[in-house]
Amino acid sequence: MQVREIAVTNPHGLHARACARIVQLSSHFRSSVSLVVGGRRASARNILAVMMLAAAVGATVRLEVEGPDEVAALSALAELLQDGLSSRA
Amino acid sequence: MSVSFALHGIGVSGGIAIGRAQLVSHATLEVAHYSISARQVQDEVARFDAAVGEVQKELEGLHAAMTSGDMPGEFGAFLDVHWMILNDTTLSETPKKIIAEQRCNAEWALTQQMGVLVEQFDQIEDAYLRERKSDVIQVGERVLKRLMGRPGVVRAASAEEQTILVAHDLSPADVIQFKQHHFAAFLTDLGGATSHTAIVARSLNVPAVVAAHNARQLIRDGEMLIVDGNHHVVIVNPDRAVLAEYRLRQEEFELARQKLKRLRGKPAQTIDGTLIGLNANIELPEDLEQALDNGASGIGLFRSEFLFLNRIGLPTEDEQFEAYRHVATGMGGRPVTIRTFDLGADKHKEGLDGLARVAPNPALGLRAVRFCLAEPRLFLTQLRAILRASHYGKVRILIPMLASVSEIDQTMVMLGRAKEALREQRVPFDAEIPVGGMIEVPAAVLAIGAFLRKLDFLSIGTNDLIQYTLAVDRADDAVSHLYDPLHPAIIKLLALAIGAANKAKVPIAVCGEMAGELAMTRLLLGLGLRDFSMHPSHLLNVKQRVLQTELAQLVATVERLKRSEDPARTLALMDKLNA
Repeated sequence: MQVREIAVTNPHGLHARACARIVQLSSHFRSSVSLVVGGRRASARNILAVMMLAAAVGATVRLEVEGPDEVAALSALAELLQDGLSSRA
Repeated sequence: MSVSFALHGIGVSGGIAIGRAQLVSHATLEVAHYSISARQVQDEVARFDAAVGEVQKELEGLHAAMTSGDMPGEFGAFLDVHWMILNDTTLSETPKKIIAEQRCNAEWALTQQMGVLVEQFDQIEDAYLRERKSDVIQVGERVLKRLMGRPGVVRAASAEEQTILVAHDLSPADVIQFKQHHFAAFLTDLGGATSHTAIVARSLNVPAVVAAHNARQLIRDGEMLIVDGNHHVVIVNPDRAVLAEYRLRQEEFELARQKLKRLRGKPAQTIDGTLIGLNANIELPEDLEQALDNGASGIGLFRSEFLFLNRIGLPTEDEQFEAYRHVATGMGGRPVTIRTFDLGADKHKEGLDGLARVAPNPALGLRAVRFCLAEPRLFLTQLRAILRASHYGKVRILIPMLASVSEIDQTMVMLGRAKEALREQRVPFDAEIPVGGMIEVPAAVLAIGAFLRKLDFLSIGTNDLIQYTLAVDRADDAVSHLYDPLHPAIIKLLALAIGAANKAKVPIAVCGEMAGELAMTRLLLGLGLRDFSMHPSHLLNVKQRVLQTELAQLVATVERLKRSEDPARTLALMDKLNA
């Protein structure tokens, strides 16, 4: 399993569009992806669960990826979380 | 057989209705709740899947249309979010489990699940992220619309089977929507004598019982109900004897109502020969008919803000003009008093920027004339529409919730600007249009001199005057029992306002709920009131009371009422007055 912790820097936190992109990107990989915020876990398959993590700016998101393409999946998701989530929705 | 039981609430609109319950849910009012048999579960699940499938296609279609056109990318992203929410198992799968477990219809299962999700969102601390619940609601409602377009079970709606609306609470916008349906009665968990459910039930002339607490949960869809608005009671699943008794009472009540109709063309004159103005309060141009049917001597209050409800965007000047002109011509020269928008507080309207923010205390916030003065374009549009309509009848302008002279002055400046612009455009209007003020803030009564000098007429809004004087929110069930029109302070304020206006020879009316209450008619007459404005359904009742009243006989008792500070004594004096 691959794990990485990333701080949310977008002032709107993990907003709806950001969540959508996480779900979209995860679906391209065969590995299972989970997000953990403040001890609560959500499957990246499940947009509502990810939205309800309510990761506001300053929160830390722990990415947990497990499966055949976990290395590639983690690096793609980490990149998205770090800089790709600038727009609001 | 189901068990028979009774529920108690507040009867806010008289009469008796007998019919089947139709439950509407809190969040999405149109949703019905009914049980299905074990055999129907499979069909119901299939119906749900089909609806989800259709919405999926709908969203994909929208997406395609957008990417082919030159819509900004934002819209596409929103559709993606909605598509994903739709395909989230908590929305697309869990309702199917609910259908199977609770054996309920698909609409109800989905509404319940939406409620669970919205509740989870509501617990989110970050306001921005919390508001994303609106996406869940929007997606859910798309599916609901599909489901309701093709109801699985067709509900029997025969001519003799009447339906009774059972809801948690109704907003003004809901209530307008229900004007088009023909419910035999309204029953709600919340509300008070002056809530919107009450006002509209009276306007539709159907019985209503509000504040029935858990009615919504205790009553099942399709159960037989008796709603007795006269005695504040609801009987669920009545037995045959009770049903027969109530059918009889219902007939007697109808008979009395028919007798009143004969008073329609008779002048409203007291025994000692004083003519009393009995005017109608209306909300929509369509209400004109009911006003005329009940012999109204004019329109004392046209609540123009109802033109705002149940629509997208603001009504244009021309739309408003048509609505006002329709009423002005329809009344054929009798006065039509148009109150400028009384928006805010309980009459919320989404889409108006000034109201979109949540005021810390809406009743004391930016509402009525304050709101209009803060939104000059909106106010000018309305003033122009009213002025244009004044060419077609006897139109008067009424400004709500005045508290300070500066508000009158500012309003007059706005009106002057509207007149000037119309003159330049050579649009005809009544240059002498009377301008009046609502007296509904205690400050306006206590400083009434300036209002009498600056305005052509006054109208007392008793609902708000009582609310502001007693500091009681009329919609709050927990304190509504403290809302007392006979509080000594209220009688004193009414006496002060009416007395001062009569002395200054400035016409004054009462247009609050009190004007339509039979028990109050003689008190108001005794205080010197000669002009009433009320819901059209009360006009004939009040006229009958006026015809039976001799003003000279009221004087002594009313003088004592003005001085009474003991509630028991006040009640005894009221009994004497109404004997």
